[in-house]
Amino acid sequence: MPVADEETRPFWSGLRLHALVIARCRSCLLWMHPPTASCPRCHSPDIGADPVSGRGRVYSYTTVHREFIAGVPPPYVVVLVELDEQAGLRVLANLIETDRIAPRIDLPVEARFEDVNGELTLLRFAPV
Amino acid sequence: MGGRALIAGVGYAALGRNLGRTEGSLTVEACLAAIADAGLSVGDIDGLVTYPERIASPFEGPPLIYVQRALGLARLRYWQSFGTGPGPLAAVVGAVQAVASGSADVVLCYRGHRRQTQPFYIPGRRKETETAELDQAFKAPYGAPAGAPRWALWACRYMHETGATEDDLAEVVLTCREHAQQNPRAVWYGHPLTREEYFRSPYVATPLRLVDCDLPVDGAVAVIVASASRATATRKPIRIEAVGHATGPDVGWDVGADLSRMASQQASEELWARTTLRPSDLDLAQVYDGFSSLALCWLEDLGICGRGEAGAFLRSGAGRVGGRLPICTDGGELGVGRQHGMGKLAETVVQLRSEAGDRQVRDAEVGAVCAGAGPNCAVFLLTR
Repeated sequence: MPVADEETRPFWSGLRLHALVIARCRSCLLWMHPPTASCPRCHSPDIGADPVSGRGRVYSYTTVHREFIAGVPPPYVVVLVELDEQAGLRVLANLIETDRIAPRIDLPVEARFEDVNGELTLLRFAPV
Repeated sequence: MGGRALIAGVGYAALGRNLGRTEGSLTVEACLAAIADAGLSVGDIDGLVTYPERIASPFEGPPLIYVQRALGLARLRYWQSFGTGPGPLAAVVGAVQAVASGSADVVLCYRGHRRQTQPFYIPGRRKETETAELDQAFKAPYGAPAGAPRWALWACRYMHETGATEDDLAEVVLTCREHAQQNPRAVWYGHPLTREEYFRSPYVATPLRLVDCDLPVDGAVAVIVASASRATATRKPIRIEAVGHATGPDVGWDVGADLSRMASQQASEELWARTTLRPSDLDLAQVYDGFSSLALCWLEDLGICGRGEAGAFLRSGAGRVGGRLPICTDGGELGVGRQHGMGKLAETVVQLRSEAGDRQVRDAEVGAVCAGAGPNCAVFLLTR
């Protein structure tokens, strides 16, 4: 169960509303993930969060064949997705619909949202 | 800084998969062995350092206070436990800094562990009801808390950028496994591996197979870092010629410009800037091989071969004992078992003292010891 704090709450609240909400510096507009309390580029403490399109490309992937976390049974695919909004802006999640299209680097994907229970929604990516 | 700190002694405890002994017991065994190896007495120790330890970090290892009590170390001038860093070499870097600055003269560095108590690295160990905070909140729910799934992501991108293949990964594993056959302490001693067996090994997280990952073991290693004035009285001190210790190329495990790179690059740059020796002077290189993919990158970043060429280098046999530049001469993490680099430091001292027996690299005078992966790495250059 992920635990949210003041910096990360917009991300987790966003997922509940089926939106991918990413931290953004209000001064220089740099996107950052995971959120931090100051901008890594201009050091402004004025950090907000905005929804992104949910679109990106697979930057790296792996198919996991062992259980590393109870409740996440293998096999499953972990992807690092580079979001369209900014080079180097990457989000980790599971790739779904892999029987339709096999994972590969640069595969175009879009965000999906899976309600696990009443409190938790997890991010997924599916091939577009 | 070269020559201001020396490795005065090394010691090993028993090593195995289920020894039925505590971390403390194994650690004390290694510490006393290192003190005896140096020809010192316990009363000579004035510094104690480790990475990690059960109290200061989420990882395993006997706390400093336990080791201090068990050894009866009365008065210490340097006393530190590192919670993060390039493995236990972070602790040795601390020891070198303490000695070079004159804060302490004889610093005992230890790494002790039991495989059963390494929760991060054993599949299935985390429970569903556990909470995931900070960075883990973004990783654990997707089945990628640490270990193989995270390093598989790195390996995938590295292979994409450099053209490295699973055959290159195999070469690392086969080299380490062969060297382990000359090391009775190694967990894979007596278990050679063929290329066919490598490719039959099941995937843990693609492209990493079971044999591409180091095995958790029970064990302990200790080294003693001493000042030049104190080291001259010890049995066979080995000079620390230079240390490279750096973060880079970007902070974090998966964010930033290029996931096919890691801080081995910056640590190597730091190293070579601090010595007149060059990669061509190396007689052996204990590249970090917690996962086989990492060893390829270390070989390239150390300057032993060009980017993407590590597989060819190993395929030529150059990395075997008897070849041009042997790697992982004790079998490495992959052959010996997971000791996070502390064993590599001890092995290099043994090699440079010409005491490695069947594993001996001829005319070994200059050795590199690498630890770490990802955002924080260290490399030591040792000379006879």
